[in-house]
Amino acid sequence: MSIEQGVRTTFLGVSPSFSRRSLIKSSGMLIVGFSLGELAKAQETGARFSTQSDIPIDQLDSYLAIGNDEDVTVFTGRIDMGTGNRTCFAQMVADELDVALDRISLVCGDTALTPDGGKTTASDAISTGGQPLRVTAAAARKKLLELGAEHLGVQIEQLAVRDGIVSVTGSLSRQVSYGELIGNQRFDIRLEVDRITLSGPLLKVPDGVSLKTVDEYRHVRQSVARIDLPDRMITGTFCQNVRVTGMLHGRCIRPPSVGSNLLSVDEGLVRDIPGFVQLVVQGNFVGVVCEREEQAIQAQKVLEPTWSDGTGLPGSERAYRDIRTAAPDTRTTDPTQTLSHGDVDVALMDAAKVLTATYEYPWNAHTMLGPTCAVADVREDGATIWSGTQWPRITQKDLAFLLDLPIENVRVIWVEESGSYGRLAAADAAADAALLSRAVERPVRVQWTRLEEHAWAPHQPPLAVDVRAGLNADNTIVAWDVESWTSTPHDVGRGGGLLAMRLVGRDPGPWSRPTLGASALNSPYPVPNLRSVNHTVEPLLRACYMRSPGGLQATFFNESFIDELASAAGVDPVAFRLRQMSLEPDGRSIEVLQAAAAAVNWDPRPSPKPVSDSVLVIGRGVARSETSVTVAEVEVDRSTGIVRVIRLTAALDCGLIVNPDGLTNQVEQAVLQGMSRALMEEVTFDNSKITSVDWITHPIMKFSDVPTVQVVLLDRPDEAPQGAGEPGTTQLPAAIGNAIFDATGVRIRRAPFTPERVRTALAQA
Amino acid sequence: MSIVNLNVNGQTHTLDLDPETPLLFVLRNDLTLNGPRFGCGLGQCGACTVIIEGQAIRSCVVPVSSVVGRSITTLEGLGMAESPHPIQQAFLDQQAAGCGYCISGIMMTAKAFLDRVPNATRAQLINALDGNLCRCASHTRILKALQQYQQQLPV
Repeated sequence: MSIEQGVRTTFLGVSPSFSRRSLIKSSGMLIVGFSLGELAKAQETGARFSTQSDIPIDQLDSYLAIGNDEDVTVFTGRIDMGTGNRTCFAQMVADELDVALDRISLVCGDTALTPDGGKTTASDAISTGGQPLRVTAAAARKKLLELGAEHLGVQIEQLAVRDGIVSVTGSLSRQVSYGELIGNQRFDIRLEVDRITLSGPLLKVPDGVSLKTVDEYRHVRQSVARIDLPDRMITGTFCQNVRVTGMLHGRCIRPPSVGSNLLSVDEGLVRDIPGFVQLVVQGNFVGVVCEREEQAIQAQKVLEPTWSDGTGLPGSERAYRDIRTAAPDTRTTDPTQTLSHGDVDVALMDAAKVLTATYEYPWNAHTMLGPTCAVADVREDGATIWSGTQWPRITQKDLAFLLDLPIENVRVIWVEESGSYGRLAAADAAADAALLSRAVERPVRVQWTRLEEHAWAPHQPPLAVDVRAGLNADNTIVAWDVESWTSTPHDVGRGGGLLAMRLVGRDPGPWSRPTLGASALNSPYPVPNLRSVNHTVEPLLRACYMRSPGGLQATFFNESFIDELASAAGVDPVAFRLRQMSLEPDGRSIEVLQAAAAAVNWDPRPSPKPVSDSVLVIGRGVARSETSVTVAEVEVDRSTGIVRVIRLTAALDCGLIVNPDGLTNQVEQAVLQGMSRALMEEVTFDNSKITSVDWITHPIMKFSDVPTVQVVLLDRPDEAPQGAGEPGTTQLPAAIGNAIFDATGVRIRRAPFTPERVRTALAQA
Repeated sequence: MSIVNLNVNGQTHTLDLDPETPLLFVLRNDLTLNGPRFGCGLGQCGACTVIIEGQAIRSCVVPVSSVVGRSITTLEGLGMAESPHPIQQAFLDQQAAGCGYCISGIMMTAKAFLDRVPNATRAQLINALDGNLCRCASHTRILKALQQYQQQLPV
């Protein structure tokens, strides 16, 4: 697949007439190739701030600016955590505006410069985050045509546009450029907000403005090289590399156990460390600040405060039981989370076969490869924070609350951190750095340790499910009866979501998150009789969604149990699913399953395979959710319990494909990350603390685990584009579990499929 | 504190610091190099890997005193975004990254290995890289990029 090179990676401020532009210039942030040295200069000029209302979400100028030099700057509140969405945004704007791709640069997630873009989660960057950019670019193009018609003295209908040049059809010498028409000036066009979501605003397409149709795209649907990769891979534009003049280094000392309170701390233990600046204690928040990073690490090691015993944890093994028996005041059974139709009890009594099972999915950790890091410069009148936050406006709000500053005096500047997969919805290091910087009245960088990132980052809660289903004599599902238990995170953005807030004793507020989500609770297939009851329990540990939250866990039980039913019916797993799907046919879902089966040359036969005497056995498994399908082929060593994945095939229908190579890349990664979660990932804890604290106690996949990966993308240019990070990863535990069953005849109903768990299951079979 | 002379990317730097300081922090904080990255500080992930006289070394667990006078190469010593080294170009050509945080360490590890064993088999390459973690799981493209790089190496 050819890669079209050429989107520039420079962030360019151009116009002294724009307040935001002049901010970029005057604060030294005329950033070329994101020079980190320039960021330091931003600091020297003092922080400038803005509120959401300063960058109105209903003004074209909030999203787009064109310079005298023809450069186009796109402002988005969305951030790019390494999935390539910036590149897709540039492609979409290039098409709607009719400019060359290499004219476009983007400013992302700076609360002083970009409109509120909500949170960057839920695989909706392209669908929701891209929408206002498309609309503003199209509205800008219309305005430019009007200006061009006036300038050239012709009717709009006589004009053509290409690469930012407006020309008279049939008389190409009569032309004018976008820069000449509007360079360094405001559009002053108000746009109507259609609705505001947690993922940012959606704009109405103004009257007289039309979005491009598929046949008019020149950049969308092309495999454009990611504009951020040279910076990430070579220059290293990470938050970890933000260096601010006069910056100190901070580290935090965490309690030994969940619920421990600080009893005493002796500054004498660290006072003589060279470069020691200050010990900062606020409630249970304990931090040290030193001139140099290694000095702060030494102070962190030797401080050893005295703490009270913690409130305790139930240990990993009891966690599932406890989630079921949680105290009533920490448990909600929201009526909206009970789905029901038909009469499940009667249908189960009349069923030809009834199967029951219990499935459990553990706590999962995002384990960013670079532990989170932030730089804060807090002064008396305001604060500037550099962070990889996935939700800059909420981080701004949280930090204003924590620092008791007016929100307009807090500026959060997003800078990429390592991949976060949801974890940086809670930008913990930003709060740590802010507290330490306020105390020492100098800029402070806080780099979390590996142990902090593994143990103290918020984690994805577990899911426990009891499921029962009945089959008719004709092998269709007649009843589906589910009871599930899970937890959902505390609200972020209201105080309490960040670790430092908890430690300083800011009330997290009532825990009131909604439950798993109806799509996860529902039967994945049409059934005449359904009952699904979901209990949501306050999380045992600080919680934060991880890629495909609820979806991956629910698909593990849904698609594993469907496989159990297919096996009980003696029907091929693909045929069984297609039969059930045909009751209420959705063409896209059916076609993607058929495409996956065709891609692997699926051999139609029931699972499991006939019993074999070999130690090494091979099996295949399929799992699907909506328009994503994964087929896994595995080899199981029956003596050691080691599962080796041989080949993974992912088939996805993501609607219109903005960037085919980018999407393929994203799916390849999502599939392998899902494999890693399925085979080896689990947060473990004892009675006081998390015990999965590094890459030995919480391993992830290595190069030697890499199977063959095949990606099949169904091109749907007439459908809205959808994300792929979550859909690519959702099916993996179920697909691999089904493949293990196919190979061995043993069903493993708890992930991950570690050698010990597989060995034990095989021995008990 | 003591005076330490470091030879990094062909230049000699004279620094006054605690000789037990891990090399990583000297490279990152004193020499303001962005290539070597902090990942674990435990020698478990490879994000901080640099090349010291042909060997891939985890700079987070090496005291600076032990590398005085030795020739140290970081990612910056290979090439820059405007003039990438062939191994960097291969990663760009294959779009071999998610977030890119691990890539510097992987490039350094792979380069040190392929300099010694240019005709390495895929299995040998995987073995050489097995201590480098990539959380985004870009492994398939990283291997493709290294295959591309390998093809142009003199054997």
